[in-house]
Amino acid sequence: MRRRALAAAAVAAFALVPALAWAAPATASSLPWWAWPVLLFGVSFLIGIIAVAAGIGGGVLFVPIVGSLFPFHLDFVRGAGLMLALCGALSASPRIIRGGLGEMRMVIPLSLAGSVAAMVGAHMGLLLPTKVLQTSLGIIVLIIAAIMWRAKERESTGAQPRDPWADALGMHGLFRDPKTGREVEWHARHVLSGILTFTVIGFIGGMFGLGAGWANVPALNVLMGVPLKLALGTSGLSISVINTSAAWVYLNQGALLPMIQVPAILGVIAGARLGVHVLRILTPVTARWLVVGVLVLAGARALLQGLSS
Amino acid sequence: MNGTNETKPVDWRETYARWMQAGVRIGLVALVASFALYILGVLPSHVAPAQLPGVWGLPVGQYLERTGAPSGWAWIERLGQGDVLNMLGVAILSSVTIACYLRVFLPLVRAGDRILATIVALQILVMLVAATGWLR
Repeated sequence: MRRRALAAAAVAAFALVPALAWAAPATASSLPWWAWPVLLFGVSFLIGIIAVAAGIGGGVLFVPIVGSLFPFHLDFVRGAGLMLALCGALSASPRIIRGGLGEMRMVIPLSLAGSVAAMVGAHMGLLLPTKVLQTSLGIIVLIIAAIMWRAKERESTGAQPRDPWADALGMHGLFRDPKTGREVEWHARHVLSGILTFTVIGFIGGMFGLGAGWANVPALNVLMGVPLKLALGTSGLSISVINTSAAWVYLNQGALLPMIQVPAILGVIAGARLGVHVLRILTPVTARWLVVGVLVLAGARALLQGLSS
Repeated sequence: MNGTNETKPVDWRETYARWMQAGVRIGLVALVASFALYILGVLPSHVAPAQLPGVWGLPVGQYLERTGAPSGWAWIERLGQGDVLNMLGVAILSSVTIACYLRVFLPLVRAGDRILATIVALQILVMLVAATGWLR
């Protein structure tokens, strides 16, 4: 009961984040230095809760919200967003693999293209002027909100026309849903289009530190015909590979600040543990609507900041 | 003879999961412990926490210029500083997947899965290029 009340309070607090982001000045204030990591932990905690309830990674929420609400430069916020997504994906991967919830034979080819693009995107992002970056981030976040709003994921992927690339790469199998015990035979389709899509997603993820679950899951499920639950796990596994290349770029360029990344990572991990309880008071659809609303406000704010700077 | 003690070969995916689990644990512990040493002032820091609000709003290029903070692999030489030591945890976490890929490469070759083994080799190359900072 206490956890439910805590979860309800967290949802209400999260709903207030965009209003705060809208009103907050983008420059440093008179707050003492230690207040910022504490506040960052709190906001990341809320992001972790809602991200789990909405079935997305935290990076896509972290960068636009923290970029708007905190006085940190976008270079460091993107670096922290990327590390956040990487840590979340790495932590979940062993469980995904052992539970048969993700397919490594999909991950390995798709991630190769994605990681090359993420590395290039990360380099380009760190070369762009802040104004261009902020404007682009605003546009990208608004597009992501539109994708999340319109995305209609499919539990069953229907009849699968055979794809010779899927045969060559072994992208097929029998998926057993651990919850229902139901078995679904699947065979990936549109493999080349999938690789191209992962390239674009990797580039955007590397450039803006957004993670990639928001796009990987629809690409795997709707485009490539992978069962939804398998697509969710496979997406997580691929983020752990794709973000590795981009993380090294941010590390080598000096764009990772411990004071930003550690409270963010710990906050999201702690929030994700409570997120499971939020599912009792909030359906995934409602959580997703909440995320779309926050993304629209944070994206619009980033866009306006970029255009007015 | 097929005795009851016959050992089943460990699937490469299980090896991958095991290595990843160990790597993430080590990386997260290193990240949190080094942050605690930094924030509690146990180790001297290159940029003191109280000075950060004056520089964390700068683009990374200007930040490095103003603070003289290390980039590339220069952090290795300054691991005695709390904030720089934190990079060790980041480097471990960013190396976990590389280690996992290296670990499963030979099992894939032995299993005759040439296409997947080739892609794994290429992926290792890409991650190593990113890690060395060769493209900087």
